[in-house]
Amino acid sequence: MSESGITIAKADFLNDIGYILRETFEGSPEGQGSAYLDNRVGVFSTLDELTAEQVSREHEDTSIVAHTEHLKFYLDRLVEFIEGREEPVNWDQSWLIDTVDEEEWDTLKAGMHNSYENVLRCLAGVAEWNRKKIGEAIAIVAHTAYHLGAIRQMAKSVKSGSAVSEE
Amino acid sequence: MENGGGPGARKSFLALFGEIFEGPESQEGMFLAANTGIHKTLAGIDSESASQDVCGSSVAAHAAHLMLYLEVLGGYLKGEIRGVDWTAGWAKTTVDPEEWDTIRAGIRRECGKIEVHADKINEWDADMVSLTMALTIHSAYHLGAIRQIAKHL
Repeated sequence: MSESGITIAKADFLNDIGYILRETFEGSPEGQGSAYLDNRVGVFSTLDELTAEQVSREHEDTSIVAHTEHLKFYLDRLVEFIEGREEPVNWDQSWLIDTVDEEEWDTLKAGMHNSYENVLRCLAGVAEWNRKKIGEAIAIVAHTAYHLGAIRQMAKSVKSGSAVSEE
Repeated sequence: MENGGGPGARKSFLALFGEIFEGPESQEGMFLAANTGIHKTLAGIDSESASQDVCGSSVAAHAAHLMLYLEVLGGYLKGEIRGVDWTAGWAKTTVDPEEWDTIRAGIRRECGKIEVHADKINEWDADMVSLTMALTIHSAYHLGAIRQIAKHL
């Protein structure tokens, strides 16, 4: 019991954040319940369905790859904050990529997998959950969900052919 | 939570949930810029624009679905369990001005009820944590989609 009388089991928090984090990135398995996404829909499956050319198309001054790079950058920096980073981040550095070739796209997707695994490792290793760390952990998932929503909307445009092609 | 995280979880939820709906309290929030929360985003879109089809979806459809999700999971928080036809929340793709006002007011109402209820709960069990997390993450997902659609309007 804490001073305020509010209690949450650490294991419950880790289980819940792990569940929704896995759903967000890996998607929920077919036939199982999900918190907010359709079965099998997640960051990885969404990105895997798109080519370098598709993710490089311009959508109202942005692109899918720009959101993807920003998303990975945010994951990496939030892990650093949870592990003690104090110096501020220049978030402009997360929006430097607008287009990629196939090799660069494969590298970025692989990097996203590594960043995700690093988040899981980081959260599992937190010894003391204070308000700041809890907020950062939830922000990782909320921020990812926000950009997944935007990316999936842009993907609809790509597949319908309404995005601006650089060709 | 053991290790002193109990009140932190409630405050963190309320702060992030508030940021997603109201926008950041300061210029930069945990992940949103000023004036980019759900309420201000929807307030800047009229019913005609909200009804516009953008690649098979519309702002109105996302907003109506969001309102239903808030109603249902807000009820779950209070132990009010009911079956839901989630496809019904996607049936409304176009709105007239009155319907649009009703949806936006409904989102504000349900959002407020959730915040008030969450602020009163002391025993945050696994269900409470998972429900508040789902409410936050789901809302963020649709805000991202809505703001992307809004760029086309």
